[in-house]
Amino acid sequence: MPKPKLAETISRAKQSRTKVFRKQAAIAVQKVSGAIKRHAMRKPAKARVTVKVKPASKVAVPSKKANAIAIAAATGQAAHKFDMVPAKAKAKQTPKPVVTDENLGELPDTYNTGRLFLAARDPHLLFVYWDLSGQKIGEYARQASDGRVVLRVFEKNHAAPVAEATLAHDARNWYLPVSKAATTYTAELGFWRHNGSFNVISRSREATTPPDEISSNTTARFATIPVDISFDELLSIVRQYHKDGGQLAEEIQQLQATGFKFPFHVDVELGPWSPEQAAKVEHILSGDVLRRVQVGSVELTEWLRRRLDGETSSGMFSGFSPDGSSWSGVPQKGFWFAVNAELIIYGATEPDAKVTVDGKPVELRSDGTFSFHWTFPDGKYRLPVVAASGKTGEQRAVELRFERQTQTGDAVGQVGQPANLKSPGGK
Amino acid sequence: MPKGYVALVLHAHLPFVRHPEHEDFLEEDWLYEAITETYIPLIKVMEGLVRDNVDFRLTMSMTPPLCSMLLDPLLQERYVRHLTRLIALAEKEIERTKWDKPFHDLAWFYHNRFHDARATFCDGYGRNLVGAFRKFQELGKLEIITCGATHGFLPLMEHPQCVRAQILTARDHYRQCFGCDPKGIWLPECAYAPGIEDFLAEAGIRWFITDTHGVMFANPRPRYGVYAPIFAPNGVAAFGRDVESSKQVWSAEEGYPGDVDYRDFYRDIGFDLDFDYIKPHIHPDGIRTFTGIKYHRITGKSQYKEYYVRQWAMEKAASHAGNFMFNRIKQVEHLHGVLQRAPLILAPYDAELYGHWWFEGPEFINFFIRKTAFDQQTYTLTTPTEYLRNHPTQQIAQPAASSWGHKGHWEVWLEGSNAWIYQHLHVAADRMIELARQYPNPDGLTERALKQAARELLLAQSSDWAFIMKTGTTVQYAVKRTKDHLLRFNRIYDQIKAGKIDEPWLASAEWRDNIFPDVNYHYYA
Repeated sequence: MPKPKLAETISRAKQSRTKVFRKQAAIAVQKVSGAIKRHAMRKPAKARVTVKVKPASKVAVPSKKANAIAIAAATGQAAHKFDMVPAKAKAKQTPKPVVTDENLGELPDTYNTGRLFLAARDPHLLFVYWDLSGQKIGEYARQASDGRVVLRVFEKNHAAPVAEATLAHDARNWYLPVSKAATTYTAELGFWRHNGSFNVISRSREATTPPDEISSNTTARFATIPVDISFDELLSIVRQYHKDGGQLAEEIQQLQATGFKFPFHVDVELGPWSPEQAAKVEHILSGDVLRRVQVGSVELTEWLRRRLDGETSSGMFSGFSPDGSSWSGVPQKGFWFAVNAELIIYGATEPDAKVTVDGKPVELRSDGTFSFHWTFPDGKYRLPVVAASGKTGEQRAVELRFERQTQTGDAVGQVGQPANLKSPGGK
Repeated sequence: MPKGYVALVLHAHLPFVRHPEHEDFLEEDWLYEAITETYIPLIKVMEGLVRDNVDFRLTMSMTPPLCSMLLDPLLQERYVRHLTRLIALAEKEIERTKWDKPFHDLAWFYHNRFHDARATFCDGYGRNLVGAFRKFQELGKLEIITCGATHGFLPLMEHPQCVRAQILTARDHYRQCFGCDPKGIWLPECAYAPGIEDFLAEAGIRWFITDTHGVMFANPRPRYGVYAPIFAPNGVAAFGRDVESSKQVWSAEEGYPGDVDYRDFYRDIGFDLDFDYIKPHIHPDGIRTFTGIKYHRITGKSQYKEYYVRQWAMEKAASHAGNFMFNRIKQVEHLHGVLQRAPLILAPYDAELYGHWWFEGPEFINFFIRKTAFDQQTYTLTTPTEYLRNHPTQQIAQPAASSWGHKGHWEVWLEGSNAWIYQHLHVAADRMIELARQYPNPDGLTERALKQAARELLLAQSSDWAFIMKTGTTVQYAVKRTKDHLLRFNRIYDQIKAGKIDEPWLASAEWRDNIFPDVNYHYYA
């Protein structure tokens, strides 16, 4: 809440509180709170706000005798605690530059760079996009012998494409399943000329699908590489043996295998390794592949972000494990609706006055305010509220009457209420 | 000699969310809640361990966006404001719950906790939590590693210069934050593709973490599986995630955080209480939000919840820590028998799991570390750097492309909802490289524009935005952030190329997106 507004609120609250002091002590406000909750995963943020709904006659009928005055008096006493930015800190903050409305506009649909981007999204799926407008593609198509612009994907070192597709006018990218993991692919965009040659518009970089199994290569080469010796130092040690394009660890390993003297302790003599051990490790790890934990951090992070929208409000949980199970609570599917009502009575008087609600003494706050918050189940309630002056003994009394009748079908539930709320009594 | 080693790794990251143009901004709460519920509790745990002379090792990645936000005076100020509001709410709650002892006690519990957080934040560390974590690193207990500069998804970057800039910018920022070079890195989203290690070596980074299959599917086959690191051919080490220890914490069915005695996340008074009562403590637009005051325990699978009993939850955390230790002992003994050498169990988690989601998580870590120190001798805690220092001989193998996202590769960040961003990011990268090459020695204003261009590109690259688009929530915010950064980038590019830099507007962009004041755009050349 911006500070000026807050200050206004406080000021209004103080004024109205003063008026209240001079009149009757008790003010009652009925509330009907309702929440329309939606399934967590699929709805936009704004719909998740818990809304205050006006009491519909079929849902809850407030007694006409109830004095429903909404003021901020009850929260006024804590207002100084909401002073947000101390004057000193404000002075430290960077002044706001003049340009606040940037008018940034929109990103273009295309830049017509002709880029063909190829990525191996996983071991068996390629993704490709092209940065060409439909108009540009149309121009190329008109130069083609068959009126088509085609996308071709090749496995490296293979002349025949593994896939070929005609570009649709409005398509921008393509997901292409491929059979081979750990294989390098390229893509090209072009068209066939009338002379039978293929005119390449654009070529992608290579993309290699990730491996999807434990390597059959069981060669094991070990190197000693102390973590506190910098790569530069290590490189200078092996420099005279370094080849262009050579890899540092491999060169170190080769030298260590031949007994080359390093200025640190080298120990590449490892214990024996049996086929049985190898089989056991493979067994353990194969199990791990199958049991790969899907409820990983990413899923958690997703949830962390989602709940900040208020999408996962109280008691509702859509579950983030892939099988839909959850840790706490059962997901609600589809549209649903729940309503409930609570009763708040609050007011203020002289701080040294004695106040009773329904005959029970009430403890006043230091500024003379008090408030009560109850559940409000169906029923009729009469609550006498009496204040007696601490100085003169003069009394002021009020009786608040409430009635709630809920008429609803089975399809409307009740919003859960805080377990600590009690019924107002006074029936 | 221990029979094995356990390395707990906590990945602490939040996207750079800082909106000086708004007095209140909902998404900034991500940071404030994480500070109160995760970062400060972890600091308190470490303080206690040092005080009690309990030897421990813990590894944390602290990403540059997170460190930037923790060091930002505006966000520090707003965090204090946030805490002050929470304390006021707790005071109201003490009053409201007066007649109901269990809730009243909990209201006091939160009141004290928030006060304590404010004391730690303001008085203990002068609002500098980066300095707090740094202290434990300098004591040799905590190893802090870096991440991509803005958590950019490296394998989907078309230009190697962008991968390089993400890593070198992160390294530079780490130096400023921690006064030394990072030895290790948490690759954003654990996403690795062959070739990334070349830039790690350039930055002097000695190791990174992959998901299990990143090491398991390495070539040649790693003899010791994920229970020892491998050296990539260029000498940078890769550590694979252990599945078993992850599962015990993460699994929906078996995971500790779902225990009935633990605090329920969803029952929060921000949603439970009367609207007018809670309105001053939620978003000014009246959007109900989590306040952090939660009175219920998980209780069971239904929506019926009992009130939270702190003591029971603490007992459960201790019991789970004991169970976790017991399982590590059994795991280490079994693996030691098979491998005939000491295995390393590397267990990485999102830091925000501990405390924010799993309220008792920091206490679980506390109990686990203490029990490990005093109740067993089978394994010791270590960090990856310490492990490499003591075990410098490892197998050479090429790690496999992998991430820790759903299905293990790039799908989360490259699918129908978010594939559109890459075309724009790649063109921006073309342009950034072009600018960096064209202006090796720019004048003052052009240099400012070039630096801002680099910041906007880096911020647009955050994997968080693609992730949010995929998950389908706060999508508008993620789309807007992506577009705004790209549009600011494009405008700067056009202005530099035209030789007409709009200084007042540039100043406003610098004011909004103030990450990396010293960014080195030459990394793109």
